[in-house]
Amino acid sequence: MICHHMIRHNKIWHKTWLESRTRFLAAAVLVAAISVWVIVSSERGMARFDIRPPITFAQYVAMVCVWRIELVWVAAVLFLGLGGLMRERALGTAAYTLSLPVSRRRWMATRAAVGAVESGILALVPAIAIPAASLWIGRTYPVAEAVKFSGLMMAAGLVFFATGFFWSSVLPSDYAAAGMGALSLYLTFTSQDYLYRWFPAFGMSRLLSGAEYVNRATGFLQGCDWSGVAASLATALALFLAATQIMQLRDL
Amino acid sequence: MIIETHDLVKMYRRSVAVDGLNLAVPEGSITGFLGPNGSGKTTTIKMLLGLVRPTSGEGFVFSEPIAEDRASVAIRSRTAYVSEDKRLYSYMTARQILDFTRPLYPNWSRRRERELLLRFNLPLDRKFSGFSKGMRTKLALVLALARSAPLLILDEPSEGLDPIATEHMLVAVIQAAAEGATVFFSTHQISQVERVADRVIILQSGRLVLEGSLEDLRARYRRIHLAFPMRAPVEEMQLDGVCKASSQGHVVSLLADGHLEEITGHAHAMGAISVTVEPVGLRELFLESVDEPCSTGVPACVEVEEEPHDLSSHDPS
Amino acid sequence: MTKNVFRIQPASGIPIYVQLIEQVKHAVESCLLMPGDQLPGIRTLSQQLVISPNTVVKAYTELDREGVIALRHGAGAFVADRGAAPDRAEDVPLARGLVKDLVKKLRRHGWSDDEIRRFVDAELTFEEVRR
Repeated sequence: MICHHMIRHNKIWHKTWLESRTRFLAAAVLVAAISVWVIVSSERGMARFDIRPPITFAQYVAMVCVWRIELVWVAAVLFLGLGGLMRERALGTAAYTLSLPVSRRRWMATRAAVGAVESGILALVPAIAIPAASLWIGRTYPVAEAVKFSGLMMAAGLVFFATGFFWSSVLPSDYAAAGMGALSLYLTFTSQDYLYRWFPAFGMSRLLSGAEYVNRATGFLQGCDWSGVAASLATALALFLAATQIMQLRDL
Repeated sequence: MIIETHDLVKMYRRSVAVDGLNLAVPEGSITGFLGPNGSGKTTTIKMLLGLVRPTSGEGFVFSEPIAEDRASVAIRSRTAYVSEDKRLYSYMTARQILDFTRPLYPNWSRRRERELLLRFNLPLDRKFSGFSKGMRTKLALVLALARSAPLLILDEPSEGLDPIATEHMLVAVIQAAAEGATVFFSTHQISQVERVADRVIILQSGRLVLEGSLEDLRARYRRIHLAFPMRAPVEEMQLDGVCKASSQGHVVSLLADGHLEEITGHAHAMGAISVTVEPVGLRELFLESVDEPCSTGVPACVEVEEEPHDLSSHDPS
Repeated sequence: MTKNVFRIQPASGIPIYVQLIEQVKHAVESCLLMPGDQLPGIRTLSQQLVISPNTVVKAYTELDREGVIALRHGAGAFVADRGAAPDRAEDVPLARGLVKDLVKKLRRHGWSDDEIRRFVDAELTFEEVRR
């Protein structure tokens, strides 16, 4: 009985995974590529910093590599959030999926969970790629420190996955949702100085890169803006719930 | 009643898809759901399954309210649906889709799945994207019929099927009905309804224009041809029981629902030289019902068996 | 056996169960079905003819009521003994003779076979409704 129950849910997870698999793998390749690229080109990049004492590798990683990787990651998870029932509607399979004895809530919760896990895995890709690429160019970067950046990115940046998830429930087509998602990204990062004055939690890029918590000397993360992360996660949750509620009322 | 709706309405921004629909589908019956394109059949079915939210009114399947989330899941666990689109996951093979669907239905019959797969001869390991229209319908039918669900809702179940496959489909549907399932199928194939169905529901512009058991309809309706020596006095033939009256030259053609004796008696009194009474097939009944409501001003003969209910847009005179 | 014995015309406007009743009666009268012969089960017949099982049930019920067949619980439907409709066999040649005379008469008046058939159908349909 329990076994049957688990198999049933297993199939729901499996389908959700199959539907996001291609995007996830493409995103993983992209994030890995950018991570490797920023490290491999670090020699040239570091040379451009004309300061005394000269910039260290770890400092360079914190100042330049992290935010480049994060930009790619943020865009990737935004697009990972797209799809779902609205895409199925466009494809014509929504009638079948929704005629199954599985509630919309469950479909959405499963997609959110799978996507969150995928986002987390994607966040960990640089944690492996950076140390590995560093070794390759004859430098070292501690995995533990890289993992800290990954953790911060994941916690603070889940809201971007949620944004893609939200737009994909509101808008009828993948392209429209992608467009709105991109627009949201643009507005978030360009308007943040203005918003930051009124809503400190909106300092997204500050939050993501942990700029205020990077130790100047070592270039490693020391501590974290917990309230900022909490606010970001809360926003992510709100977006998930809003998307689910909107989907409840939709005609498919 | 397995399916019941009360004044079900669905409005989109500029149009009314379903306009105050009252359905009653008895358990164990085979009901054909007919209507021209755009009459609201698919929308009605989607509302019953929770894919579309009714604007107003209510509906019940297995006595569960269709508009409530949890109830809708319960309904769907006992319903087999073949959608109009019959589109499935293009990235899965037929086998994978079956494996995916099977665990969701505890009463799934492996035996019936095998039988149907054999009969329809489907390539199990081909990706769905490589399926032709007919193959898609066949797979959808297997997925639906193997569930052993007490309610089958089929939207155009013979779409894309050659005559042999259509026959297999009808036999499989009848098998399910013989085992106690209720069948509700929407189609343009009037001949299929005539053959297989116990009851028929005809929709037009979102409203019910005809409903009843096929036998009842066959027993009640008659086409009467009256030949007169001179111009046919069609206005004088609009009596009780006459649904439609038309004339061509000196012949009057009536569609009558009862009161045959009075009508033929009156015709004789008016000087008719010949009276021919013929049965009316479903196709003719369908065409007459959805043609125009009542161009002659005579109320359309629509009746619901269980309760007296005026479903036409005109007041009965 | 029943594969070709029963023919249903769904589009004729005559209720299918009525057609089935008439065909069973005809089969019994012309000795295609003998007393004691078992009729196909409801499920089997509905699948063979591709008609609703409810229709078969209705036909069998009516035939049972009229004594043409006997429904035995769990065992199926069987053609009833001649005892239930005693004089039928002798009546058939008489009825046939009447029809033969009528057809001959109408043909002499110049009516074609199709037209004769239509007259008979119309009369029967009219009669059936009047009943």
